[in-house]
This record gives sequence, C-alpha cells and structure tokens, in this order.
Amino acid sequence: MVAERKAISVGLVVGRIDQNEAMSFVADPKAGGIALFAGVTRSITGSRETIGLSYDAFEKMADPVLGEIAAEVINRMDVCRIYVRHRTGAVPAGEVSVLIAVSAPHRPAAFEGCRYIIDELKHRVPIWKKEHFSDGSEQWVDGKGPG
Amino acid sequence: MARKLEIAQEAQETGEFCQGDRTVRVLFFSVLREMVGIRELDLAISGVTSANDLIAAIADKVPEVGEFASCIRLAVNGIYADSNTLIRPGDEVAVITPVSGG
Repeated sequence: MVAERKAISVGLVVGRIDQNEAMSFVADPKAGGIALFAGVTRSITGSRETIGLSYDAFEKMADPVLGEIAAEVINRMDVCRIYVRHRTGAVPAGEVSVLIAVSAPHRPAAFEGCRYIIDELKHRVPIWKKEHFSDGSEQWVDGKGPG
Repeated sequence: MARKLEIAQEAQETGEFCQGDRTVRVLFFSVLREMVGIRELDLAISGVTSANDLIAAIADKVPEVGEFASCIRLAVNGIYADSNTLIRPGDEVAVITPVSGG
C-alpha cells in the first residue's frame, strides 16, 4: 500500500522500486539538492554468502509509522519533499530493498533527512528480514528496538 | 499446521477463545509466526488489561512468546503500547519482536 499526502509519499511494495518515480516525486522548484539512499541486499555478510532476503511486515501499521517518521522530518528540518518505499517478500542479492529520497533547498537537510528516516525505520517500522544463505540455510535477522 | 489445529482444539475444549466481544485478536509476525505456526488467535480477557499482563496471558497459551517476553513490544490497534496503555476486548494486538527492516 502507498500513502500519499502533500509532500510525502511512503509505502511498502512488492517487486522492484522505481527510482525514477522517486526522483519525480521529490522534484520541487525550491529544492537545490536531492539525497537518495538505497538499502541494497548484501551478498556477503562476514564469511557467508547470501542469495537473498525476504521481508515480512505488518503492513497496516508500517505505512502509518513510515508516514509519521517522514512527517517528523518535514516538521523539524528544512526539506521540501520525501519519498520512501520498502519492499516486502523476496529481494534477491544486489537489489534495492529500501529507497529514500529527500529534496531540500540545501544539501545538509537532504542528507540529514535521509539518514534520520533510515535510522528510525530500522527501529520503529514493523518490518522483519530473513537472510537466505547459499548453503540453503536461513535465519531471521536479529532486530533493533522498539521491541 | 499441526500446531494450529492443536490450538484450535484447545480453544474448543476450554471455551476460552472466540467469545465475541470478550476477546482480543492477537497477531504474530516473522520469527514468532514461524515458531508458533499461526498468524493470529483470539484470546479471551476478563476486562481491561495492561500490555505486560497481556504478554503474560499470551505466553500462557503460547509458550514461545515467553521466550521473547523481554524484547517484545505490543502494538494495540496499530500503535505501540507503553506502560500506560490499556487493552480492551475488541482490540487488535500485534506482537512485535525487534524489527529489522532496511
């Protein structure tokens, strides 16, 4: 599901995330910079090879919490527009699992906004990832708060 | 799946589940969903209860929840509960283990 309101578009998606859509959404005549953060499925973790991740989510709650985090950035920082998408289901190694775009009049707020959103997302949004290893084993990744 | 049937059977025997407006719906995700083998269950509560008491009540029926009790947080009707949150019959309660998105 995707929730949109003025200046904010957040949501969970199945399948690839459209980077062009992110750039289009955050375009703003007042913006002097756009920061993009893409979280990518890592194929090597320590000495283990990962073939992909899969994500479970409490969708009904994830969208509002993502919206809340984005609203905090809009209210506290000098930014223009925000776009966030997180994939659910299977994400093969090398593909983007989360994409965040923030436009702002000046670059510090764009960078800061992106960082705030990914940091808060990892602590607050009810999404869980499982790693699938090349030897056929799998495990849920140890999470961070608030749990 | 075997576990699901087992819990359903217990519910029938004890009459503690599915009592309409006296139950809360409990949702499981990720590691707990896999361990427990069910996505949700209806749990009878005697009245208004706190998050900590409800975690104990859930753990009583689903022992796996007890293993995670120290790191579980509940979300009531989609909002994280704190020590002051009151849970009432009819509420939907998600059992949130530490999240790992991103």
